[in-house]
Amino acid sequence: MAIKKIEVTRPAKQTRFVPKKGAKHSVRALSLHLRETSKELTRKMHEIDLEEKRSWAKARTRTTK
Amino acid sequence: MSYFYTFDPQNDYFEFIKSLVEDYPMYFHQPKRLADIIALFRYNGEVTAIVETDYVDKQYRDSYYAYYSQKYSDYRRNCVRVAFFEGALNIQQFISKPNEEIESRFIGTIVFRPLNIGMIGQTFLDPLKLKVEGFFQTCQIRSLVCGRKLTVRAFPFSSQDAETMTCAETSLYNLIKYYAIKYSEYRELMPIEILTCIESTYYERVLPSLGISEEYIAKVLSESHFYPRLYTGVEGFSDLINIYAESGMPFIWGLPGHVVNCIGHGKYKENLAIDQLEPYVECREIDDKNYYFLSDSALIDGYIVMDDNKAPYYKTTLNEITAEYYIEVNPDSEGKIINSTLREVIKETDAIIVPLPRRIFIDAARAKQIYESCFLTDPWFLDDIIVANGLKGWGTTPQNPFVWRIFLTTSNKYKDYKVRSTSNQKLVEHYMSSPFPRFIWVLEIGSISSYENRQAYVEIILDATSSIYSENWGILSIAYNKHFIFVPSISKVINSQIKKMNVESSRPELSLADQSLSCEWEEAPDQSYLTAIFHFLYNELDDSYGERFRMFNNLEEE
Repeated sequence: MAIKKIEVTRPAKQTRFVPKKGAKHSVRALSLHLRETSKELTRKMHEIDLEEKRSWAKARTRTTK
Repeated sequence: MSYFYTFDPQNDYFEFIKSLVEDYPMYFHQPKRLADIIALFRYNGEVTAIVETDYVDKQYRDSYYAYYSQKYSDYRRNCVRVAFFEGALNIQQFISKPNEEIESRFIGTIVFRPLNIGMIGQTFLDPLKLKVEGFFQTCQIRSLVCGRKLTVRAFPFSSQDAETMTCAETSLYNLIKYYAIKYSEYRELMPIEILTCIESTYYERVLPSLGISEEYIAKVLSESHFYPRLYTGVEGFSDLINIYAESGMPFIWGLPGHVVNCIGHGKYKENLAIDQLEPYVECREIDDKNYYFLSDSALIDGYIVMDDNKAPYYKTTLNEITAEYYIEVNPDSEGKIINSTLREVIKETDAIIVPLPRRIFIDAARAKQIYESCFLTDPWFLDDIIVANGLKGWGTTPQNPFVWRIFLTTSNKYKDYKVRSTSNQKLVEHYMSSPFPRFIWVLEIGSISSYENRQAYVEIILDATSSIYSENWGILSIAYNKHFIFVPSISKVINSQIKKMNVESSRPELSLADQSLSCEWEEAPDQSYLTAIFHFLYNELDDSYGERFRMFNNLEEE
């Protein structure tokens, strides 16, 4: 008996990405906006790292529980 | 020996406790502790208590041989265990009734230790049978009562004996036990193993225990194969507590001079009036426009904690419990604590230690920051979700804020929920066939009214194994009304397209139209991958996601 292979789910849609002219936000504007966001995000992550280092330093000087 | 007692917990619990104190005086030095627990019993009729004497409790035995046996005065080796059942049961009924019936009546067990302080030993009580309401985690405990194997769903609880186990060791013991029962990669640590673990790096003796500081709590968790994170005095501390409680990940909560386990949160408040919530609404000015946000922590009724000084499943809030223990440590401050000093106290003294599993590289603080920077403070995104959902005034008035909720979950649990709760066939197929990382962060955005129906409008998923330095910042999918992108499924297309454009832009024989597209990319700064993702999101309509979807339930409702 031949074994039938049944596809249960559809393969993912293959979309061609074309930056549209007259789209909601132009590629350049969107890219610039995201670059700013990215810079800000990196800065905030450094802040979190510093805060966490301080957090450990504080824990070392704390009384016991 | 086993003895059966039957009593009415509402009326004659005092008589019951009195007879226990008379029958087993060595084990009931603090009868008030037992009364507090019995006060939680929900059952209105009679309750049967089966008392087993000479019970060998492994937690107490461990402390006994390492510590109590070495004392001059006499300490008993054995404990007394009491198992509670709803309804009156005699020995014949207990033996003959089928297991399902006995289990359906089983409230749980409490071990009583022969100690002056800390008489409550290991306790496993089913919160469904107690007056506890909310969403929290439990594990399945197996026990043998009078020769019958029974199971109960509970979170481990015990009180501190103040000599071998203080609050920190008790919390650690119960928390590790919970994870060990639930997940095979962890192992239960006995009280003395916990102390030995600390001893290796401690400069003082560890027995009798003098308590542990937060960094050593984290160390013990590390040694038990967790990957803990410690937060104290950090920005948005209350949000972190809420995020981890929502994630269904029990954690250790450090308070002034005390430690408890937080295992979830209370019920969602009903019939919410906006004037009650307004103090919690946060206004952010972005590009000269005001947006209003409300964390879902304002909508829940406190947190459920296991505090070894109280009865199990104690409901409290961040402010309440911090003020309570701060006053205990500083009795002079009673009546003088105001909101601003409490904020300072929380910043100075509160801490949480979260036993994260392996491979969660983005923790709550980082996940929140990604969500904040890329979505919750991005006017382009916020305006787009308002327009897409056609909700005028949503997020732009203090009466109708964006209500957000962040949590961590496993993709298995999440997919299972989505496949069951989604009606869109295309979306079901997506969850059935798309590979996800083991752990994901989820942000849901809704409104106060949608939250009342447990629904949200926007869902953004982050890959917990990623980082902000990856080209997609860890974003896995973004979904709201008629907008849906799943980044891995379009990444191939984006990558090949970007590569092609970069090559083609240097070829003069291109058509004018192609050149204009390429030029736009050439001029665009260095976020091409991310730009493509957001370009897709804003411009390619996809009808998989409708206006609202049912919110994911990460915790078991009790």
